[in-house]
Amino acid sequence: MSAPEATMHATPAAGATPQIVVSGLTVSYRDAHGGRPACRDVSFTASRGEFIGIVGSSGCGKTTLLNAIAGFVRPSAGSVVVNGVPVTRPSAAVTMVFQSYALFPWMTVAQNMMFGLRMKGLGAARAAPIIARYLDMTGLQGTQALYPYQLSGGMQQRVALARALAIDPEIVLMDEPFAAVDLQTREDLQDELGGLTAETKQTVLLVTHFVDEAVYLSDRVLMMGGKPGQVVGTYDVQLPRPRRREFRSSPAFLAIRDAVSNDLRVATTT
Amino acid sequence: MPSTTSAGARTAQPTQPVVAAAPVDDRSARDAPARGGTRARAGSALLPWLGLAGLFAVWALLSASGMVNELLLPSPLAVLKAGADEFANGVLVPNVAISLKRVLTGYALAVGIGVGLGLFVGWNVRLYNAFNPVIEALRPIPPIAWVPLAILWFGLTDRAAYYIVFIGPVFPIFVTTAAAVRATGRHYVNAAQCLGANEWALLTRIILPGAMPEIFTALRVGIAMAWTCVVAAELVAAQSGLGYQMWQSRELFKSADVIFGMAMIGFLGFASNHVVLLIERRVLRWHRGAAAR
Repeated sequence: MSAPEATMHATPAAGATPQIVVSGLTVSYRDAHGGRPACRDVSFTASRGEFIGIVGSSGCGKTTLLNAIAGFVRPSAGSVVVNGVPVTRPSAAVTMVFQSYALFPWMTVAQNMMFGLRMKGLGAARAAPIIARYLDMTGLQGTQALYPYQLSGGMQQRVALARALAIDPEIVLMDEPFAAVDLQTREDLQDELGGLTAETKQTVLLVTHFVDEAVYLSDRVLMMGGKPGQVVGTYDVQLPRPRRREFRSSPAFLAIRDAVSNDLRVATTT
Repeated sequence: MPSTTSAGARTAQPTQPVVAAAPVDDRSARDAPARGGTRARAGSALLPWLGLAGLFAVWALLSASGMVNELLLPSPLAVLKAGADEFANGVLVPNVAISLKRVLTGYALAVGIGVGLGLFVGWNVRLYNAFNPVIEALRPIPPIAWVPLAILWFGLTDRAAYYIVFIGPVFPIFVTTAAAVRATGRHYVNAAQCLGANEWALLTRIILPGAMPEIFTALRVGIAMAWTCVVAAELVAAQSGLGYQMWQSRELFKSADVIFGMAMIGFLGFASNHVVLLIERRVLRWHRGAAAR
Protein backbone atom coordinates (compact mmCIF):
# COMPACT_ATOMS: atom_id res chain seq x y z
CA MET A 1 0.00 0.00 0.00
CA SER A 2 1.18 3.47 -0.72
CA ALA A 3 2.06 5.72 2.13
CA PRO A 4 -0.52 8.37 2.96
CA GLU A 5 0.12 11.55 1.13
CA ALA A 6 -0.85 14.85 2.58
CA THR A 7 -1.25 17.81 0.32
CA MET A 8 -2.25 21.34 1.12
CA HIS A 9 -4.91 21.50 -1.55
CA ALA A 10 -7.36 19.06 -2.97
CA THR A 11 -6.56 17.55 -6.31
CA PRO A 12 -9.49 16.65 -8.53
CA ALA A 13 -9.49 13.11 -9.81
CA ALA A 14 -7.67 13.07 -13.12
CA GLY A 15 -9.88 13.18 -16.18
CA ALA A 16 -13.26 13.23 -14.46
CA THR A 17 -15.29 16.42 -14.34
CA PRO A 18 -15.83 17.21 -10.68
CA GLN A 19 -19.44 16.91 -9.59
CA ILE A 20 -19.00 19.28 -6.67
CA VAL A 21 -16.76 22.29 -6.97
CA VAL A 22 -16.29 24.34 -3.82
CA SER A 23 -14.12 27.34 -4.47
CA GLY A 24 -13.06 30.05 -2.08
CA LEU A 25 -16.09 29.35 0.09
CA THR A 26 -16.53 31.66 3.05
CA VAL A 27 -19.65 31.54 5.18
CA SER A 28 -20.29 34.13 7.88
CA TYR A 29 -23.10 34.01 10.38
CA ARG A 30 -24.52 37.32 11.39
CA ASP A 31 -24.26 38.01 15.08
CA ALA A 32 -23.85 40.87 17.54
CA HIS A 33 -20.30 41.46 16.34
CA GLY A 34 -21.44 41.94 12.78
CA GLY A 35 -20.54 38.50 11.56
CA ARG A 36 -17.85 35.94 12.11
CA PRO A 37 -16.88 33.51 9.41
CA ALA A 38 -17.46 29.85 10.28
CA CYS A 39 -15.31 28.72 7.40
CA ARG A 40 -13.00 30.76 5.19
CA ASP A 41 -11.70 30.23 1.71
CA VAL A 42 -12.49 26.51 1.52
CA SER A 43 -11.77 24.93 -1.85
CA PHE A 44 -12.04 21.33 -2.96
CA THR A 45 -13.74 19.22 -5.55
CA ALA A 46 -15.49 15.88 -5.50
CA SER A 47 -15.97 13.55 -8.44
CA ARG A 48 -19.10 11.58 -9.10
CA GLY A 49 -19.24 8.52 -6.89
CA GLU A 50 -16.44 9.66 -4.63
CA PHE A 51 -16.69 9.16 -0.88
CA ILE A 52 -15.06 12.00 1.02
CA GLY A 53 -14.59 12.03 4.76
CA ILE A 54 -14.21 15.40 6.47
CA VAL A 55 -12.54 15.52 9.87
CA GLY A 56 -11.50 18.40 12.07
CA SER A 57 -11.79 19.85 15.51
CA SER A 58 -15.13 21.09 16.82
CA GLY A 59 -16.17 24.47 15.54
CA CYS A 60 -13.99 24.48 12.47
CA GLY A 61 -16.92 24.88 10.12
CA LYS A 62 -17.47 21.31 8.95
CA THR A 63 -21.21 21.47 9.42
CA THR A 64 -21.32 24.93 7.88
CA LEU A 65 -19.56 23.55 4.83
CA LEU A 66 -22.23 20.85 4.46
CA ASN A 67 -25.00 23.39 5.02
CA ALA A 68 -23.60 25.52 2.21
CA ILE A 69 -23.38 22.56 -0.16
CA ALA A 70 -26.95 21.58 0.75
CA GLY A 71 -28.13 25.13 0.09
CA PHE A 72 -29.29 25.78 3.67
CA VAL A 73 -26.93 28.76 3.98
CA ARG A 74 -25.65 31.09 1.29
CA PRO A 75 -21.95 31.73 0.80
CA SER A 76 -20.65 35.10 1.94
CA ALA A 77 -17.89 34.71 -0.62
CA GLY A 78 -16.87 32.05 -3.09
CA SER A 79 -19.22 29.48 -4.53
CA VAL A 80 -20.56 25.96 -4.43
CA VAL A 81 -21.24 24.47 -7.85
CA VAL A 82 -22.97 21.11 -8.24
CA ASN A 83 -23.20 19.59 -11.72
CA GLY A 84 -22.13 22.91 -13.17
CA VAL A 85 -24.92 24.89 -11.48
CA PRO A 86 -24.35 27.16 -8.46
CA VAL A 87 -26.30 26.00 -5.41
CA THR A 88 -28.82 28.63 -4.30
CA ARG A 89 -31.38 26.58 -2.38
CA PRO A 90 -31.95 23.07 -1.05
CA SER A 91 -32.97 20.36 -3.48
CA ALA A 92 -33.50 16.63 -3.47
CA ALA A 93 -30.42 16.14 -5.64
CA VAL A 94 -28.27 16.96 -2.63
CA THR A 95 -29.77 15.39 0.45
CA MET A 96 -28.55 15.46 4.01
CA VAL A 97 -28.50 12.94 6.83
CA PHE A 98 -28.58 14.92 10.04
CA GLN A 99 -26.79 14.30 13.29
CA SER A 100 -30.13 14.73 15.06
CA TYR A 101 -31.75 12.34 12.52
CA ALA A 102 -34.52 14.93 11.89
CA LEU A 103 -37.10 12.20 11.46
CA PHE A 104 -40.58 13.67 11.39
CA PRO A 105 -42.03 12.47 14.70
CA TRP A 106 -45.64 12.65 13.46
CA MET A 107 -44.94 10.19 10.68
CA THR A 108 -44.36 6.46 10.92
CA VAL A 109 -41.17 4.95 9.52
CA ALA A 110 -42.91 4.20 6.23
CA GLN A 111 -44.45 7.69 6.08
CA ASN A 112 -41.06 9.27 6.75
CA MET A 113 -39.67 7.36 3.79
CA MET A 114 -42.72 8.04 1.67
CA PHE A 115 -42.33 11.79 2.12
CA GLY A 116 -39.37 12.20 -0.22
CA LEU A 117 -40.75 9.67 -2.69
CA ARG A 118 -44.07 11.49 -2.87
CA MET A 119 -42.19 14.75 -3.48
CA LYS A 120 -40.60 12.99 -6.46
CA GLY A 121 -44.10 12.31 -7.75
CA LEU A 122 -44.27 8.64 -6.85
CA GLY A 123 -47.62 7.16 -5.82
CA ALA A 124 -48.01 4.66 -3.01
CA ALA A 125 -47.95 1.71 -5.40
CA ARG A 126 -44.64 2.66 -6.97
CA ALA A 127 -43.09 3.76 -3.70
CA ALA A 128 -43.93 0.63 -1.72
CA PRO A 129 -41.28 -1.64 -3.27
CA ILE A 130 -38.63 1.09 -2.91
CA ILE A 131 -39.50 1.57 0.75
CA ALA A 132 -39.42 -2.17 1.33
CA ARG A 133 -36.07 -2.47 -0.40
CA TYR A 134 -34.37 0.24 1.63
CA LEU A 135 -35.88 -0.96 4.90
CA ASP A 136 -34.52 -4.36 4.01
CA MET A 137 -31.06 -3.00 3.18
CA THR A 138 -30.86 -1.14 6.47
CA GLY A 139 -32.19 -3.99 8.57
CA LEU A 140 -35.46 -2.26 9.43
CA GLN A 141 -37.91 -4.93 8.37
CA GLY A 142 -41.16 -4.82 10.30
CA THR A 143 -40.77 -1.25 11.53
CA GLN A 144 -42.95 0.41 8.86
CA ALA A 145 -45.85 1.22 11.14
CA LEU A 146 -43.79 2.39 14.12
CA TYR A 147 -43.26 5.98 15.10
CA PRO A 148 -39.69 7.25 15.56
CA TYR A 149 -40.05 7.43 19.35
CA GLN A 150 -40.61 3.69 19.39
CA LEU A 151 -37.15 3.06 17.93
CA SER A 152 -33.72 3.05 19.50
CA GLY A 153 -31.21 5.74 18.48
CA GLY A 154 -29.37 3.36 16.18
CA MET A 155 -32.58 2.38 14.44
CA GLN A 156 -33.67 6.00 14.09
CA GLN A 157 -30.35 6.69 12.40
CA ARG A 158 -30.99 3.78 10.05
CA VAL A 159 -34.37 5.24 9.13
CA ALA A 160 -32.74 8.61 8.44
CA LEU A 161 -30.21 6.88 6.20
CA ALA A 162 -32.85 4.81 4.41
CA ARG A 163 -35.06 7.88 3.97
CA ALA A 164 -32.21 9.83 2.37
CA LEU A 165 -30.97 7.05 0.12
CA ALA A 166 -34.46 5.97 -0.99
CA ILE A 167 -34.98 9.14 -3.01
CA ASP A 168 -31.83 8.24 -4.91
CA PRO A 169 -30.03 11.56 -4.51
CA GLU A 170 -26.91 12.24 -6.53
CA ILE A 171 -25.09 13.50 -3.48
CA VAL A 172 -25.50 12.48 0.13
CA LEU A 173 -24.21 14.79 2.85
CA MET A 174 -23.83 13.27 6.27
CA ASP A 175 -23.25 15.33 9.39
CA GLU A 176 -21.78 13.15 12.12
CA PRO A 177 -24.49 10.61 11.48
CA PHE A 178 -23.22 8.02 13.92
CA ALA A 179 -22.10 10.30 16.74
CA ALA A 180 -24.98 9.42 19.02
CA VAL A 181 -24.83 5.63 18.83
CA ASP A 182 -22.58 3.18 20.65
CA LEU A 183 -19.47 1.67 19.10
CA GLN A 184 -21.03 -1.64 18.12
CA THR A 185 -23.95 0.01 16.37
CA ARG A 186 -21.65 2.55 14.79
CA GLU A 187 -19.48 -0.12 13.18
CA ASP A 188 -22.56 -1.96 11.92
CA LEU A 189 -23.93 1.23 10.43
CA GLN A 190 -20.56 2.08 8.88
CA ASP A 191 -20.50 -1.29 7.13
CA GLU A 192 -24.05 -0.78 5.92
CA LEU A 193 -23.25 2.70 4.65
CA GLY A 194 -20.07 1.52 2.95
CA GLY A 195 -21.91 -1.32 1.24
CA LEU A 196 -24.90 0.77 0.22
CA THR A 197 -22.97 3.67 -1.26
CA ALA A 198 -20.57 1.39 -3.13
CA GLU A 199 -23.64 -0.18 -4.68
CA THR A 200 -25.52 3.02 -5.48
CA LYS A 201 -22.41 4.93 -6.64
CA GLN A 202 -23.60 8.04 -4.89
CA THR A 203 -21.23 10.85 -4.05
CA VAL A 204 -20.90 11.08 -0.28
CA LEU A 205 -19.51 13.79 1.97
CA LEU A 206 -19.24 12.49 5.51
CA VAL A 207 -18.42 14.84 8.35
CA THR A 208 -17.23 12.92 11.37
CA HIS A 209 -15.35 13.21 14.64
CA PHE A 210 -14.06 9.69 14.23
CA VAL A 211 -10.85 9.40 12.23
CA ASP A 212 -11.33 5.61 11.97
CA GLU A 213 -14.71 6.10 10.41
CA ALA A 214 -13.43 8.61 7.86
CA VAL A 215 -10.48 6.45 6.82
CA TYR A 216 -12.51 3.23 6.75
CA LEU A 217 -15.21 4.61 4.49
CA SER A 218 -13.57 7.27 2.33
CA ASP A 219 -11.68 7.48 -0.91
CA ARG A 220 -10.25 10.69 0.39
CA VAL A 221 -10.14 12.38 3.79
CA LEU A 222 -10.19 16.17 4.08
CA MET A 223 -8.94 17.73 7.26
CA MET A 224 -10.29 21.07 8.33
CA GLY A 225 -8.77 23.21 11.04
CA GLY A 226 -8.49 26.68 12.47
CA LYS A 227 -11.10 29.25 13.33
CA PRO A 228 -12.51 30.13 10.88
CA GLY A 229 -12.07 26.69 9.40
CA GLN A 230 -10.05 25.94 6.32
CA VAL A 231 -8.95 22.77 4.56
CA VAL A 232 -5.54 22.00 6.04
CA GLY A 233 -4.81 18.62 4.48
CA THR A 234 -6.10 15.80 2.32
CA TYR A 235 -5.30 12.09 2.51
CA ASP A 236 -5.96 9.55 -0.18
CA VAL A 237 -7.06 6.12 0.91
CA GLN A 238 -6.24 4.13 -2.20
CA LEU A 239 -8.20 0.97 -1.75
CA PRO A 240 -11.37 -0.18 -3.47
CA ARG A 241 -14.69 0.17 -1.72
CA PRO A 242 -16.61 -1.38 -0.05
CA ARG A 243 -14.00 -2.47 2.42
CA ARG A 244 -14.13 -5.39 4.73
CA ARG A 245 -13.83 -5.36 8.46
CA GLU A 246 -10.34 -6.82 8.26
CA PHE A 247 -9.25 -3.55 6.71
CA ARG A 248 -9.64 -1.92 10.09
CA SER A 249 -6.65 -3.85 11.43
CA SER A 250 -4.51 -3.75 8.28
CA PRO A 251 -1.17 -1.87 8.31
CA ALA A 252 -2.37 0.40 5.49
CA PHE A 253 -5.42 1.47 7.45
CA LEU A 254 -3.45 2.00 10.63
CA ALA A 255 -0.77 4.03 8.86
CA ILE A 256 -3.26 6.46 7.35
CA ARG A 257 -5.31 6.62 10.50
CA ASP A 258 -2.27 7.45 12.61
CA ALA A 259 -1.12 10.08 10.15
CA VAL A 260 -4.53 11.73 10.17
CA SER A 261 -4.82 11.49 13.96
CA ASN A 262 -1.38 13.01 14.49
CA ASP A 263 -2.02 15.86 12.10
CA LEU A 264 -5.39 16.44 13.70
CA ARG A 265 -3.76 16.69 17.10
CA VAL A 266 -1.24 19.18 15.76
CA ALA A 267 -3.95 21.16 13.99
CA THR A 268 -6.05 21.28 17.14
CA THR A 269 -3.29 22.33 19.52
CA THR A 270 -1.82 25.07 17.34
CA MET B 1 -41.45 6.69 34.40
CA PRO B 2 -41.58 5.90 30.67
CA SER B 3 -38.39 7.82 30.07
CA THR B 4 -36.31 5.62 32.30
CA THR B 5 -37.91 2.49 30.92
CA SER B 6 -37.35 3.25 27.26
CA ALA B 7 -33.87 4.67 27.86
CA GLY B 8 -33.02 1.53 29.76
CA ALA B 9 -34.21 -0.60 26.89
CA ARG B 10 -32.14 1.39 24.45
CA THR B 11 -28.88 1.12 26.30
CA ALA B 12 -29.43 -2.49 27.22
CA GLN B 13 -29.70 -3.69 23.64
CA PRO B 14 -28.58 -0.90 21.39
CA THR B 15 -28.11 -2.72 18.11
CA GLN B 16 -30.83 -5.25 18.50
CA PRO B 17 -34.28 -4.22 17.46
CA VAL B 18 -36.04 -2.62 20.34
CA VAL B 19 -39.01 -2.67 18.03
CA ALA B 20 -40.89 -5.38 19.77
CA ALA B 21 -39.80 -4.27 23.20
CA ALA B 22 -40.55 -0.58 22.97
CA PRO B 23 -44.32 -0.61 22.65
CA VAL B 24 -44.56 -3.27 25.32
CA ASP B 25 -42.31 -1.26 27.61
CA ASP B 26 -44.43 1.72 26.91
CA ARG B 27 -47.59 0.01 27.95
CA SER B 28 -46.14 -1.53 31.06
CA ALA B 29 -44.80 1.86 32.03
CA ARG B 30 -48.22 3.39 31.58
CA ASP B 31 -49.79 0.67 33.66
CA ALA B 32 -47.16 0.95 36.33
CA PRO B 33 -49.09 3.34 38.60
CA ALA B 34 -51.96 0.84 38.65
CA ARG B 35 -49.71 -1.72 40.26
CA GLY B 36 -49.12 0.77 43.05
CA GLY B 37 -52.29 -0.53 44.69
CA THR B 38 -55.86 -0.87 43.55
CA ARG B 39 -57.13 0.89 46.62
CA ALA B 40 -55.15 4.06 45.85
CA ARG B 41 -56.37 3.92 42.25
CA ALA B 42 -59.99 3.48 43.17
CA GLY B 43 -59.63 6.37 45.60
CA SER B 44 -58.24 8.72 42.96
CA ALA B 45 -61.00 7.74 40.53
CA LEU B 46 -63.58 8.69 43.14
CA LEU B 47 -62.05 12.06 43.99
CA PRO B 48 -63.69 14.11 41.19
CA TRP B 49 -67.10 12.72 42.17
CA LEU B 50 -66.41 13.46 45.80
CA GLY B 51 -65.79 17.09 44.88
CA LEU B 52 -69.07 17.30 42.97
CA ALA B 53 -70.97 15.53 45.75
CA GLY B 54 -69.53 17.99 48.25
CA LEU B 55 -70.74 20.94 46.20
CA PHE B 56 -74.24 19.52 46.03
CA ALA B 57 -74.23 18.70 49.74
CA VAL B 58 -73.28 22.24 50.76
CA TRP B 59 -75.84 23.63 48.35
CA ALA B 60 -78.61 21.31 49.62
CA LEU B 61 -77.76 22.09 53.26
CA LEU B 62 -77.77 25.82 52.62
CA SER B 63 -81.18 25.81 50.99
CA ALA B 64 -82.62 23.33 53.51
CA SER B 65 -81.40 25.41 56.47
CA GLY B 66 -83.62 28.28 55.43
CA MET B 67 -80.72 30.70 55.81
CA VAL B 68 -81.10 31.84 52.20
CA ASN B 69 -84.20 32.89 50.38
CA GLU B 70 -85.62 29.98 48.35
CA LEU B 71 -86.28 32.46 45.57
CA LEU B 72 -82.60 33.37 45.31
CA LEU B 73 -81.09 29.94 45.85
CA PRO B 74 -83.51 27.12 45.12
CA SER B 75 -82.58 23.61 46.27
CA PRO B 76 -80.80 21.19 43.89
CA LEU B 77 -84.00 19.21 43.69
CA ALA B 78 -85.99 22.27 42.61
CA VAL B 79 -83.41 22.95 39.90
CA LEU B 80 -83.63 19.37 38.65
CA LYS B 81 -87.41 19.64 38.62
CA ALA B 82 -87.21 22.91 36.64
CA GLY B 83 -85.04 21.10 34.12
CA ALA B 84 -87.44 18.18 33.88
CA ASP B 85 -90.31 20.61 33.31
CA GLU B 86 -88.39 22.43 30.58
CA PHE B 87 -87.77 19.09 28.93
CA ALA B 88 -91.41 18.04 29.25
CA ASN B 89 -92.62 21.37 27.85
CA GLY B 90 -90.41 20.87 24.83
CA VAL B 91 -88.35 24.03 25.33
CA LEU B 92 -85.10 22.44 26.54
CA VAL B 93 -84.13 20.40 23.47
CA PRO B 94 -84.69 23.15 20.89
CA ASN B 95 -82.78 25.64 23.04
CA VAL B 96 -79.86 23.25 23.47
CA ALA B 97 -79.92 22.50 19.75
CA ILE B 98 -79.87 26.15 18.72
CA SER B 99 -77.09 27.05 21.16
CA LEU B 100 -75.08 24.02 20.06
CA LYS B 101 -75.51 25.02 16.43
CA ARG B 102 -74.26 28.54 17.18
CA VAL B 103 -71.28 27.25 19.10
CA LEU B 104 -70.33 24.75 16.41
CA THR B 105 -70.72 27.25 13.57
CA GLY B 106 -68.81 30.07 15.27
CA TYR B 107 -66.16 27.72 16.58
CA ALA B 108 -65.67 26.03 13.21
CA LEU B 109 -65.17 29.46 11.63
CA ALA B 110 -62.70 30.39 14.37
CA VAL B 111 -60.74 27.15 13.94
CA GLY B 112 -60.64 27.40 10.16
CA ILE B 113 -59.63 31.03 10.04
CA GLY B 114 -57.44 30.96 13.17
CA VAL B 115 -55.41 27.93 12.13
CA GLY B 116 -55.34 28.78 8.44
CA LEU B 117 -54.30 32.37 8.91
CA GLY B 118 -51.94 31.49 11.76
CA LEU B 119 -50.20 28.99 9.53
CA PHE B 120 -49.47 31.49 6.76
CA VAL B 121 -48.77 34.45 9.01
CA GLY B 122 -46.49 32.39 11.24
CA TRP B 123 -44.58 31.07 8.25
CA ASN B 124 -44.10 34.34 6.38
CA VAL B 125 -42.07 36.89 8.32
CA ARG B 126 -43.41 39.82 6.28
CA LEU B 127 -47.01 38.76 6.74
CA TYR B 128 -46.30 38.34 10.44
CA ASN B 129 -44.83 41.81 10.77
CA ALA B 130 -47.80 43.30 8.93
CA PHE B 131 -50.48 41.29 10.72
CA ASN B 132 -49.22 41.13 14.26
CA PRO B 133 -49.93 44.76 15.28
CA VAL B 134 -53.51 44.45 13.99
CA ILE B 135 -54.07 41.25 15.94
CA GLU B 136 -52.51 42.64 19.09
CA ALA B 137 -54.74 45.70 18.87
CA LEU B 138 -57.94 43.69 18.39
CA ARG B 139 -57.10 40.87 20.78
CA PRO B 140 -57.64 42.69 24.11
CA ILE B 141 -61.20 43.65 23.15
CA PRO B 142 -63.42 41.21 25.06
CA PRO B 143 -65.95 39.29 22.94
CA ILE B 144 -68.81 40.91 24.85
CA ALA B 145 -67.63 44.32 23.62
CA TRP B 146 -68.37 43.14 20.09
CA VAL B 147 -72.02 42.48 20.90
CA PRO B 148 -73.39 45.97 20.13
CA LEU B 149 -71.55 46.11 16.83
CA ALA B 150 -72.63 42.58 15.94
CA ILE B 151 -76.26 43.59 16.52
CA LEU B 152 -75.80 46.69 14.36
CA TRP B 153 -74.26 44.63 11.60
CA PHE B 154 -76.45 41.55 11.67
CA GLY B 155 -79.52 42.46 13.72
CA LEU B 156 -80.94 39.96 16.21
CA THR B 157 -80.10 37.06 13.93
CA ASP B 158 -78.13 33.85 14.17
CA ARG B 159 -75.36 35.56 12.25
CA ALA B 160 -74.81 37.99 15.11
CA ALA B 161 -74.42 35.02 17.45
CA TYR B 162 -72.08 33.22 15.02
CA TYR B 163 -69.98 36.33 14.83
CA ILE B 164 -69.66 36.73 18.59
CA VAL B 165 -68.90 33.04 19.07
CA PHE B 166 -66.30 33.32 16.32
CA ILE B 167 -64.58 36.41 17.65
CA GLY B 168 -63.73 34.91 21.05
CA PRO B 169 -61.78 31.74 20.16
CA VAL B 170 -60.27 33.02 16.92
CA PHE B 171 -57.60 35.12 18.63
CA PRO B 172 -56.08 32.52 20.94
CA ILE B 173 -56.21 29.95 18.14
CA PHE B 174 -54.56 32.32 15.67
CA VAL B 175 -51.90 33.58 18.07
CA THR B 176 -50.99 30.09 19.28
CA THR B 177 -50.84 28.67 15.76
CA ALA B 178 -48.64 31.48 14.50
CA ALA B 179 -46.30 31.15 17.49
CA ALA B 180 -46.06 27.37 17.10
CA VAL B 181 -45.32 27.72 13.39
CA ARG B 182 -42.60 30.26 14.08
CA ALA B 183 -41.05 27.85 16.57
CA THR B 184 -40.89 24.96 14.07
CA GLY B 185 -37.53 23.22 14.30
CA ARG B 186 -35.19 24.42 11.57
CA HIS B 187 -33.88 20.89 11.09
CA TYR B 188 -37.35 19.58 10.16
CA VAL B 189 -37.66 22.28 7.52
CA ASN B 190 -34.16 21.60 6.22
CA ALA B 191 -34.76 17.87 6.17
CA ALA B 192 -38.01 18.30 4.26
CA GLN B 193 -36.43 20.67 1.75
CA CYS B 194 -33.56 18.36 0.93
CA LEU B 195 -36.10 15.57 0.46
CA GLY B 196 -37.60 17.74 -2.27
CA ALA B 197 -40.50 19.44 -0.41
CA ASN B 198 -42.17 22.42 -2.07
CA GLU B 199 -43.70 25.26 -0.04
CA TRP B 200 -47.15 23.68 0.08
CA ALA B 201 -45.88 20.32 1.27
CA LEU B 202 -43.71 22.09 3.80
CA LEU B 203 -46.73 23.95 5.21
CA THR B 204 -49.22 21.10 5.22
CA ARG B 205 -47.05 18.09 5.98
CA ILE B 206 -44.27 19.50 8.15
CA ILE B 207 -45.17 22.85 9.70
CA LEU B 208 -48.84 22.13 10.44
CA PRO B 209 -48.42 18.67 12.01
CA GLY B 210 -45.42 19.92 13.94
CA ALA B 211 -47.53 22.74 15.38
CA MET B 212 -50.47 20.48 16.18
CA PRO B 213 -49.71 19.84 19.87
CA GLU B 214 -49.78 23.58 20.60
CA ILE B 215 -52.75 24.14 18.31
CA PHE B 216 -54.80 21.57 20.18
CA THR B 217 -54.14 23.30 23.46
CA ALA B 218 -55.58 26.47 21.90
CA LEU B 219 -58.51 24.51 20.46
CA ARG B 220 -59.47 23.42 23.96
CA VAL B 221 -59.14 26.93 25.32
CA GLY B 222 -61.22 28.02 22.33
CA ILE B 223 -64.14 25.63 22.81
CA ALA B 224 -64.62 26.87 26.36
CA MET B 225 -64.55 30.45 25.09
CA ALA B 226 -67.13 29.56 22.45
CA TRP B 227 -69.62 28.60 25.17
CA THR B 228 -68.85 31.78 27.10
CA CYS B 229 -69.49 33.78 23.94
CA VAL B 230 -72.70 32.04 22.93
CA VAL B 231 -74.27 32.88 26.29
CA ALA B 232 -73.10 36.48 25.99
CA ALA B 233 -74.63 36.63 22.52
CA GLU B 234 -77.91 35.02 23.49
CA LEU B 235 -78.43 37.21 26.53
CA VAL B 236 -78.84 40.24 24.27
CA ALA B 237 -78.48 39.47 20.60
CA ALA B 238 -80.84 36.52 20.13
CA GLN B 239 -84.42 35.40 20.62
CA SER B 240 -83.64 31.77 21.34
CA GLY B 241 -81.08 29.47 22.89
CA LEU B 242 -79.97 28.63 26.43
CA GLY B 243 -78.77 32.15 27.21
CA TYR B 244 -82.04 33.68 26.02
CA GLN B 245 -83.98 31.13 28.05
CA MET B 246 -82.00 32.09 31.17
CA TRP B 247 -82.65 35.76 30.59
CA GLN B 248 -86.37 35.08 30.22
CA SER B 249 -86.40 33.00 33.40
CA ARG B 250 -84.75 35.83 35.31
CA GLU B 251 -87.47 38.24 34.26
CA LEU B 252 -90.05 35.77 35.60
CA PHE B 253 -88.02 35.23 38.80
CA LYS B 254 -87.64 31.55 37.93
CA SER B 255 -84.25 31.21 39.60
CA ALA B 256 -84.33 27.39 39.40
CA ASP B 257 -84.49 27.65 35.62
CA VAL B 258 -81.64 30.17 35.61
CA ILE B 259 -79.45 27.78 37.59
CA PHE B 260 -80.49 24.85 35.44
CA GLY B 261 -79.45 26.82 32.35
CA MET B 262 -76.07 27.50 33.95
CA ALA B 263 -75.66 23.81 34.74
CA MET B 264 -76.57 22.89 31.15
CA ILE B 265 -73.92 25.24 29.76
CA GLY B 266 -71.38 23.85 32.21
CA PHE B 267 -72.21 20.33 31.14
CA LEU B 268 -72.20 21.09 27.40
CA GLY B 269 -68.88 22.95 27.74
CA PHE B 270 -67.41 20.02 29.62
CA ALA B 271 -68.70 17.54 27.06
CA SER B 272 -67.45 19.50 24.06
CA ASN B 273 -64.03 19.91 25.67
CA HIS B 274 -63.99 16.15 26.04
CA VAL B 275 -64.82 15.67 22.37
CA VAL B 276 -61.90 17.92 21.39
CA LEU B 277 -59.72 15.94 23.79
CA LEU B 278 -60.73 12.67 22.13
CA ILE B 279 -59.90 14.06 18.69
CA GLU B 280 -56.60 15.33 20.07
CA ARG B 281 -55.69 11.89 21.41
CA ARG B 282 -56.34 10.42 18.00
CA VAL B 283 -54.50 13.04 15.98
CA LEU B 284 -51.57 13.31 18.39
CA ARG B 285 -50.94 9.62 18.97
CA TRP B 286 -47.34 10.19 17.90
CA HIS B 287 -46.95 13.06 20.33
CA ARG B 288 -48.13 11.29 23.45
CA GLY B 289 -45.53 8.62 22.91
CA ALA B 290 -42.81 11.07 21.96
CA ALA B 291 -43.58 13.34 24.90
CA ALA B 292 -43.52 10.41 27.32
CA ARG B 293 -39.91 9.66 26.49
